[in-house]
Amino acid sequence: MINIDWNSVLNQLLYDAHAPLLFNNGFFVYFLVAFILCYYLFRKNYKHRAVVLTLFSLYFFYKASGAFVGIVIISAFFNYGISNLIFKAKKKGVKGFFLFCSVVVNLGVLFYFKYTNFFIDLINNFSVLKFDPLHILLPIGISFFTFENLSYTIDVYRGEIEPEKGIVNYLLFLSFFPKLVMGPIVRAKDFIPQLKKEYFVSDSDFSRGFYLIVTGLIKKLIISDYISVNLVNYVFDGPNLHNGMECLVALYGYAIVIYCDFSGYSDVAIGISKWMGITIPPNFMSPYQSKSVSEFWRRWHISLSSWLRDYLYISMGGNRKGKFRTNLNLFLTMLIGGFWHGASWNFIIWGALHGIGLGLNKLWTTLFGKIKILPTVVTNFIFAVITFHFVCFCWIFFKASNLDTALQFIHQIVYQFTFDGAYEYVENYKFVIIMIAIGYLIHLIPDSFPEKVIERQKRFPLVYYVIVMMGFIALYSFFKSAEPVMPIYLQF
Amino acid sequence: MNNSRKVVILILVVTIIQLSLSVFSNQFIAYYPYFKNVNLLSDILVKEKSKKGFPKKKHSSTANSIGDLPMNDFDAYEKKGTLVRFNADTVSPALQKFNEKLIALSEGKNVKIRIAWFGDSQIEGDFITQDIRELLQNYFGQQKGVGYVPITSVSSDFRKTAKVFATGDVSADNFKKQDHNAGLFFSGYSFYSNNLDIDFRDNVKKGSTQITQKWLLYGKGDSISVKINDSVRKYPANKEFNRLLVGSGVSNKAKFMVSSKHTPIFGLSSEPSSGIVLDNFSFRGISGVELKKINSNLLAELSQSGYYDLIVFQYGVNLMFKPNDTNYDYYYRGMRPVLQKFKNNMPNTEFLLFSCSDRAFNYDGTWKTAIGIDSLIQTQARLAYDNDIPFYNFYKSIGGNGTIVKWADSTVQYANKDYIHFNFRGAKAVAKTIYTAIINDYNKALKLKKANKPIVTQKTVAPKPMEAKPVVKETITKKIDTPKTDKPKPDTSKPSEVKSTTPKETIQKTTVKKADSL
Repeated sequence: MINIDWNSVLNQLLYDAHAPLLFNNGFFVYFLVAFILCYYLFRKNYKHRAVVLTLFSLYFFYKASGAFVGIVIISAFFNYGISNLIFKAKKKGVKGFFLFCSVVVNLGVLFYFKYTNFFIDLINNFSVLKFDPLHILLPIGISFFTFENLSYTIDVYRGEIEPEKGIVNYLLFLSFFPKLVMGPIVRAKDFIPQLKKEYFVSDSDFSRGFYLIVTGLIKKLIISDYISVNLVNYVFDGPNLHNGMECLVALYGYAIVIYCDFSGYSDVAIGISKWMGITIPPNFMSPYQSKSVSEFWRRWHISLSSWLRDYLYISMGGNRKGKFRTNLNLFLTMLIGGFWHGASWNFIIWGALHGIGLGLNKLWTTLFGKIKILPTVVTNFIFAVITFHFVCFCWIFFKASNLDTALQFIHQIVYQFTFDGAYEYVENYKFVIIMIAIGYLIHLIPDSFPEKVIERQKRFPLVYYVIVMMGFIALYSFFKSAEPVMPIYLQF
Repeated sequence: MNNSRKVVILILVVTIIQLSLSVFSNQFIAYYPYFKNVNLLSDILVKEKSKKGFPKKKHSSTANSIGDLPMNDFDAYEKKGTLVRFNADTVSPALQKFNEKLIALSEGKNVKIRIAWFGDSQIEGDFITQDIRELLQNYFGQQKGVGYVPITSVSSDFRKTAKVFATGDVSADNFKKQDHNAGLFFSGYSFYSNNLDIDFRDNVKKGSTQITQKWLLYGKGDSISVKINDSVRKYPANKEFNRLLVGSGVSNKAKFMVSSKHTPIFGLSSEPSSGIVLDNFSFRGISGVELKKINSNLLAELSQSGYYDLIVFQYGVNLMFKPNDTNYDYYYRGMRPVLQKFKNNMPNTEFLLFSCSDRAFNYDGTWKTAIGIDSLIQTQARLAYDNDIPFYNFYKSIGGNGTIVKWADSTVQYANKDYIHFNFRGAKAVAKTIYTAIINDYNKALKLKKANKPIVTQKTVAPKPMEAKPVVKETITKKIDTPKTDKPKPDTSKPSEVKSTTPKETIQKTTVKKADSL
């Protein structure tokens, strides 16, 4: 019979820096069961329900990031307080002052945790003064909840919303566990009102939630993880060890990895939220189908791009100050957006490249937008291919650990491209290549297909959902044990 | 209809099924072994003591097949941070003649010490060796130079310490593809061209007044034609190893043209007139067995001229290409003749055998050190022991089990995510570790020298019990990899004697454009 180690059970309840809580931890299953039972038990009273959800979310945060849970609590109190001060202040100058305080404090905390060492490094490179880098750990989700705080106080300042009266709701808005680690970035004005509604899951919500959770997990835990571990990670770490063809395939692989990883997580977050009766708008919409860079940003990480548009681009003047300023604002928005992703020059370059891409996109549309030579299908295809490759090129900077590695990666593709050894390559990586192909096929499925599945699924009995979920678990367990594909380090 | 209850039921039903399967997992796993990855109880059950694992000393498939080992001297292979010579003596250095020359160099004598450093892709792009070279050259006299550089290689673009801009039609032989009859150099390459235009740069930082010699290295053939400063001359190529001084001065560059259709060009060497020269011989994907392709006559010639003082073999990670391999007998059988060939043909040279470094595999979703690594290291140590070659436990010295996983997964990475290769940061760190072991060995020699005791001793390990191996095994070994025709030339020098430290210099002081016969 089973023999439970109760010490291990207790240890499981505590934060473990080596195994932070994620959706695919075994512990998450217990967490979810306990949560959903409590949530259902307190479904009648939205205040109680919010308290349950907040406590579980804070616990999730604790299991994912340890003592940093204190930061999200302090941050919630601070922004809750200052947003009320902004709201109550009569004079615009006073409102502006409080908003300024909010921006400085929120960005200051983010800056400290995320960018201190980057700037220490910068100072060390350009000055005689030398500082030792600090040992600073990054609290999980800080980039996301900082932006959520900012959008909230800015909305209050702009008079678009009234500050939330209950601190619990605000704390929940910040710490809501499904979107805590990797977003999407939600807006208080969309999120908090839903907390006060009845816990209602329609047929469509149930089916959609299930579809998003299962496909999201497949994308993240099977497709993305498999390609990452068995090809992408090691090619990007040592591009010099791989020829141009290998680097190029790894790049196409990474395009799928980043999409499946990020959108998969978002989908799971959106799906779980659906099952709680909370709707979070889609965060990704087949971005590699885009026919221009600006369309890409309407389909990729939508919650971030719309945040940047509403709170950064528009705050800088948007397109209201002439063509030059519009392009400059666009460029700066993308540059800062790039830097938001991580404290390195590579992210700044990545953002700048997208900024330039958007500028060129606008110029092209202005100059040639109305000229039609080829049939629309053909031009759409050509533009989609160009956009996809531009995005892939930018991914090199996003993924490479430093500028040298990124440049080496490009060098390999340009100067070390060869099909020599292609046979051995395909032989060794056949399953990885198949997985990449599946990733692209999934991506090319028309948006109407999931809608049809969700609609049809609504009528299926519970047993169908149980079987599919068990099928997914079996598939996941298989891939977790899949024999790793080792690099072959082609030489000839 | 409100499906909130359906959500709860679905989650509960799936969890209950999964939990039930977990309770009966012992039975269920027989039907679906992958279930162990999703066993909900695996983290909270009382764990039985694992019966798996490979006890370091008792296990060894090789031990069983090759003969039980005397565990006293041999045990020394497990020592970390030091070069071992497999004997109880902890006072004498593992490297002897090499350390004598280092001492001579540190005393300001005009000595050149040359090290050949064999390795696989771990040292590609001069990784690790560039840092060891720098550390050694800084410690012993500040005379700099990159040493050997091939005409071209898969890592030429990546290598920072030297650049060769070679234009012209070049064909190359190498360990994996050989079209010409002439032999390969230590790099595993030979180049042929009618019109090779070479622009060479040694990027190792040196003092502005230091003179470096730039040599063209080539093998046996008809002759080569070299054009330097508009003057074309032919040079004989009647030895297995020839070199031509193509430049000497404070410049770190050399520019010339070479035509060598039938004579193998080995590469270039940029070096100080005295001091330490460390040649990087990386070849991707090999295990060392490939070195059998190097001609015995070349080895003998290099030995007679005292070209190399020390040869390091740093291999191993390519042998662990399957996660569950634990038997490396085949490697013993393949590598032993290679080491014997080198030792027999190069009596004036010392050797040092490295164990493999750490390599990890994904075992059921978790990256862990290869389970066969202890067995491989024991096999490598046995190769060293049986051939009386000093050994360095590279794996233990850099941290042992779990090191590569820790280095690849840390926020500031020291290794790549293939869990094999060190990145520039990790390469620097391991170079420091290796350098420290070399200096520790040197300090032992220095102590003996100060105490007026001899550094070079007679062989302390007389006939080793391990050499009395089953006859059958020997037969197999010979079948697999006996050198074909090359027999070692009569050895006129005594291996155990101190080698003169001067002849090399007299050879090197030749005039430009004169073939340097060794």
